[in-house]
Amino acid sequence: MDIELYKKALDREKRARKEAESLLEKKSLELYNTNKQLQEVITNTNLFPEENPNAVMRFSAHGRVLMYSNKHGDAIIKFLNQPLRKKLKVYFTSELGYSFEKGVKHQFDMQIGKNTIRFDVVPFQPFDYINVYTADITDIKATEVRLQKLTESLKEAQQVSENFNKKLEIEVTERTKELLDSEMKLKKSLLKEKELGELKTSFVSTASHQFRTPLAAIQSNSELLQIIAESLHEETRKRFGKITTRITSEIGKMTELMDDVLILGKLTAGKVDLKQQYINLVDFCSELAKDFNEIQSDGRIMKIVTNGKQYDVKLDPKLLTNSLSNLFSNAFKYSVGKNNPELIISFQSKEFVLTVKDYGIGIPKDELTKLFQPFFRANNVTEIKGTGLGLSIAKEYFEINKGVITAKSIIGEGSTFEIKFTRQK
Amino acid sequence: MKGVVFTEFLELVENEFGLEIVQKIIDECELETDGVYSSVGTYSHKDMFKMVGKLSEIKDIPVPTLLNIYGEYFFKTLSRDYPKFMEQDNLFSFLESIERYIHPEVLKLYPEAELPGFESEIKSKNEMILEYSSSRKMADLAVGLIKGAARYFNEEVEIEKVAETNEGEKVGLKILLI
Repeated sequence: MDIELYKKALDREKRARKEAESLLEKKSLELYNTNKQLQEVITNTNLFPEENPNAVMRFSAHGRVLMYSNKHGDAIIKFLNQPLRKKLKVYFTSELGYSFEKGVKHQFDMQIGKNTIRFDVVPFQPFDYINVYTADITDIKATEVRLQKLTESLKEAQQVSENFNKKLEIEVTERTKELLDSEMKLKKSLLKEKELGELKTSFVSTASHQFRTPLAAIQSNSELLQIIAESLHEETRKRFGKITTRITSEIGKMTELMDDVLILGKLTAGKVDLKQQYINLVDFCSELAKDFNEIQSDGRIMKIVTNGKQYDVKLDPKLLTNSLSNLFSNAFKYSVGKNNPELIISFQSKEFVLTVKDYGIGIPKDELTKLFQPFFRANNVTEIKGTGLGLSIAKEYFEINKGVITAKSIIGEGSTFEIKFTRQK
Repeated sequence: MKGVVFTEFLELVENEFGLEIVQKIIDECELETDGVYSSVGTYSHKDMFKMVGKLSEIKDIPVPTLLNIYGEYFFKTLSRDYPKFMEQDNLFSFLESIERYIHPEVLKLYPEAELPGFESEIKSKNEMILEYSSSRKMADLAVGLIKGAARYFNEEVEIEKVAETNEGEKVGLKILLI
């Protein structure tokens, strides 16, 4: 009986043991698989920091014990362990210690060789260690430095610009002052000139009037002599006659000269007003020519030629008469015994031209430039009467009428005087 | 239920009442494993109830008493096999550590284990309330274990059931040091 019991008990033990063994096997397999998985995860996790281009490190014990480091971290540790870098190592450890102590994240920068490295220290409280991550901020720092320099340059440039502006302001102020001074001086000059002009005019006017009085006296006395000479016998009368004629002639010249000087004075003082009106130039010139033609004792006439489509022109007729008369007078005066002088009236689209041409004695080439100067007489006209003021007066008259006069001449062949007027619309 | 509960129970029965009683229990209960239990295995707690019930029938001892006795005995096994859990200063701190430390450690090894809850409250130097909670409703086993623990720590205790809910799913135990 007992043996049966024991046998059964033993059998149960065997089976229990087998069961325990198979459980053990199962558990071992589970453990193996779990281990394998864990290994894979560890490897993969390990790979991750290994793949990081920056350093990843883990420290315990206030930063004194290195628990893990990827290869970049190893390089940094190696660098810090160099005997020359002792100070840096101390600094590094103290920075880690700070994070450990305060239990806070912390950041610091350090120069590792040529590069500036930023360290981020992150405490991991539950496990009492710190993780250290790095970033290479060499480029950022270089950019910061460059930016700083640029900012400084900019500030300098701004300063220079400001200084320049200030200088400019000062110069402008000075220039303006100078300009105002010049303006003032100019005004004074103009005023003075105006005064002088008026002085001259009044002088000229006064002088000519003053001259006229004695001239008139001389003339009347000469006439008186002539009357007295009437009662003398013929020879003496003739001689007196010649003398008084000469006196009268010279007085005439002087009077003419006075008149011309007065006119020129008025002209140059700007005391002659321009009163323009539309005139038929051809009719006008024909009338004037007629007056001159009538007084030519040798029968010469001023020939008038027109070309171009005619139109009415705006001119001051009085001034035109004065100036054109002078030219007509000269043309006849200096071509005695020669062909008829000519007036050519040319009508063009934008201008009209009056040309007075004579076939007379002409003007020496080198004296053409001085021709319009007051009192100028060419060296080949000393025998011919004239004041030397005619052309200068004519020129003034033409210019007031807004015309431009030029002269051309060939000695012995004749002279051409051309006056150009701009057609006024 | 862990196999060790079964193996230790049968060992106790064998020691106290002999192999015949063991065989009789195995033969007369319809057990899932035919009485084959390995300490590292896991078996249905219903089989445990069957065996305890059968023993109670055979020996005419009430089930609670049987569980009490077994509990005290079982504690010896546990304290021997897991000295790590016995590093407490006194009974009360030990009882406190069950919920806080021991059972979490057990779960690490046996994640599927269904362990009873032991919420504790130390009232004074001599008084403690321990709340047992388990769907297996084996508070009597717990009482036995506590008695075993007291013996281990050289303490004398009086244990009283002061509350009960759901027919023993939750039982409040007052433990007095004497």
